Amino acid sequence: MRKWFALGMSMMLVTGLAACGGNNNGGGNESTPTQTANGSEGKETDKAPAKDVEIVFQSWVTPNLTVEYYDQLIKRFESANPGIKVKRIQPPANEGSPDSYLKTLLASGDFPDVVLNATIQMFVDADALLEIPIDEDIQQINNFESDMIDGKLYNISAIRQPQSLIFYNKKLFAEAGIASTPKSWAELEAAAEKLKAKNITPLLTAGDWTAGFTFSVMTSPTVYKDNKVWYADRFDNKVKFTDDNWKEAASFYAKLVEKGYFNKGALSIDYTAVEQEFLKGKGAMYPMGSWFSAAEAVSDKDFEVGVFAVPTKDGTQYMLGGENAGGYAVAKNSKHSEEALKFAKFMMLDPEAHKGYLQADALFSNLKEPLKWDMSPLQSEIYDLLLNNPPMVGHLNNKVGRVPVAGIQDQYNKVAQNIMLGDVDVEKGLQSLDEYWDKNNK
Amino acid sequence: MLKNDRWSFALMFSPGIIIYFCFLLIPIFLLVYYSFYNWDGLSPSYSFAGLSNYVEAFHDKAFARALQVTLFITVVSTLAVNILGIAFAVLLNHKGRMTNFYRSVFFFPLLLSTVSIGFIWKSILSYNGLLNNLLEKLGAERIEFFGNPDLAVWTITFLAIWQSTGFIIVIYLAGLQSIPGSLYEAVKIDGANRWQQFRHITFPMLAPAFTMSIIFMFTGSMREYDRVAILTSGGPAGATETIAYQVVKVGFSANRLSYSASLAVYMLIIVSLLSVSLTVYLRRREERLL
Repeated sequence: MRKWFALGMSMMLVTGLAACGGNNNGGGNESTPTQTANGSEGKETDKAPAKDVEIVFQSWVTPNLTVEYYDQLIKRFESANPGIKVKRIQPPANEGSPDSYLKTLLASGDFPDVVLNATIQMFVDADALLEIPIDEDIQQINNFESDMIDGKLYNISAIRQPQSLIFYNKKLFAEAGIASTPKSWAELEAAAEKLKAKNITPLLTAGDWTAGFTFSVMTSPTVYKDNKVWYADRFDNKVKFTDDNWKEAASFYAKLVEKGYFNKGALSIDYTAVEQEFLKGKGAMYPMGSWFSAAEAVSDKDFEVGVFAVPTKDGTQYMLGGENAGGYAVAKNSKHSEEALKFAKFMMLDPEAHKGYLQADALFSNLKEPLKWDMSPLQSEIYDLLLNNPPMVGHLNNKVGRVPVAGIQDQYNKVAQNIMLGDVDVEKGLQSLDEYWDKNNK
Repeated sequence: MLKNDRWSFALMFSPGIIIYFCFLLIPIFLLVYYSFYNWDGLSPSYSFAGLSNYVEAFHDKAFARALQVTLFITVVSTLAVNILGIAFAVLLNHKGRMTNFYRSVFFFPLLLSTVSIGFIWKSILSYNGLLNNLLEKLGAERIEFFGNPDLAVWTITFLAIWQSTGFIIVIYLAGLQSIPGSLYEAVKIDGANRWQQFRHITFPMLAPAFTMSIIFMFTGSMREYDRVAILTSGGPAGATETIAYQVVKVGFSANRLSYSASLAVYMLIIVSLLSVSLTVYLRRREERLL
């Protein structure tokens, strides 16, 4: 009896030790939410013949890029590539980027073979990403060189994603007698005043990351149109947030808040809620990225939505956003890097997959021979705006010459939320951005 | 024979000890180790930083504010949950037709994950949520539960109280059921009213349950994270950032893992000192009362 008891305890001990051990790449990552391509948890892999390889793919699930979207593409890839199985995983919460999730996976030795939408520079610094060979597949992409880091490419992306857009309710604009969309700050203020006079909320925003995003898209175009490497210059201490151009832009934003042009209770709602507020007609203008047009296309409403680029001080159009940003990257230490690279290329460059990706998230093709998809009238308007726009730089936590210090978006959020709370000391807010930058530039 | 016993004991203890080492002692050791370096959590190399992270944390205004918020949530929720826990436990400590139903109702919030509860309350309390729509229909002003910095802290505290009360009720119910009925019989003969019975019998005899509940609530509230992450993301303007929230944010958003480790070590020291002091005080109180 005692022997059996000891045997049982030994088995528990072995199990305990196994639980403490690391789990290397490609293995079953049971502590994270995982799913195989067809949704059945792990069973496919167990049944697969020994020669099959399994690659782990970190997906980025949003209201536009759904689980079903990824699963049907994975299924297509698996049918076309027998012997390669794809296990899809996803971050447990949408924090604006999968970076935190990926960092924990990297630390635990479970970094996926293929990652999507990560901050590339960060994981290149961590020596976690594979250099993508510049072959004829990559050469299909317009301006792919702009995303290289020290002359090497680490991500596959062929998209343009304008972010400094203002969507507007055409019905409310007509009610307020606004005939043309504003191009300059003065015109924007005049339009807001007309709307307010008609008891219409001129501008919509929300708390969480949306506050920082709105602040950034409303201010940065005026600053970055004259300096497209502003973040790089900030690293070199050539510019500061407390410079006059930033002070002027932030003061303009604070004035919009002070005059009561934004929605009441903005900090008590989140991104999903403010999107619904706009689609319910509860505000005339909604500063947001092009992805909003995907939600607009399927919404049920009794008004038309238009779009214009965020006005700049002098009225020159300059949109900010992503040029080949995000996209798919492959783990340097992947045991199946060839298969992983094949999958990453499929997801971004296969004509059907590329078109599906663009349509699902309202993106625009940046291939040398751009693929057209079935655009809604609003998406066609964005496309027209893009045709007349020079290549975009990023803003907020995206590249403007260089990727900014990590976590700067949190500080933008704080500054923007303080302004929304009535803190009119804009200079203090901008100073806090400089302080954050210096403190975290290590 | 004796030798075999020793092996059996060793084997019996091993799983617990291994788990304790792997998931508690080693992580704490690593936490302290990394806090003396300058690691971003990603780079393959890092350098020794001495005490610089601790010095910086000591002067960090955001950390001081987070500490203040954490202590506020902890003190208010610990007191409120224990007062409510005792009150409801006394009310539910009777055999009635609906007693089990009420016990289940109070315990129910604990069965749901904090994340689910966060989303439920978010839909109720947000500016365009259920409660505000109702208030507007009644002609009242909408309330910014998450948008007003002071109110947002109170909202997080209220939800901590709402979710934890059920568990504390169970602890007090167990405590109440261990009080001998003869004590009540004796004081009733002496003419004690209900309040006197509670004051002189119930409350002192609940001392062990009181100690356990206070320590449980105190240590749990000092680690407040998930409600903040779901409901306010630390906002507005950092007003609801707790220490745990800041540790995660600094480590994983600002990529300063070593610095966030130093914040976590401060948190560990503060929680350990306060909980040991509380435990010693409450144990002495138990000895005095029982």
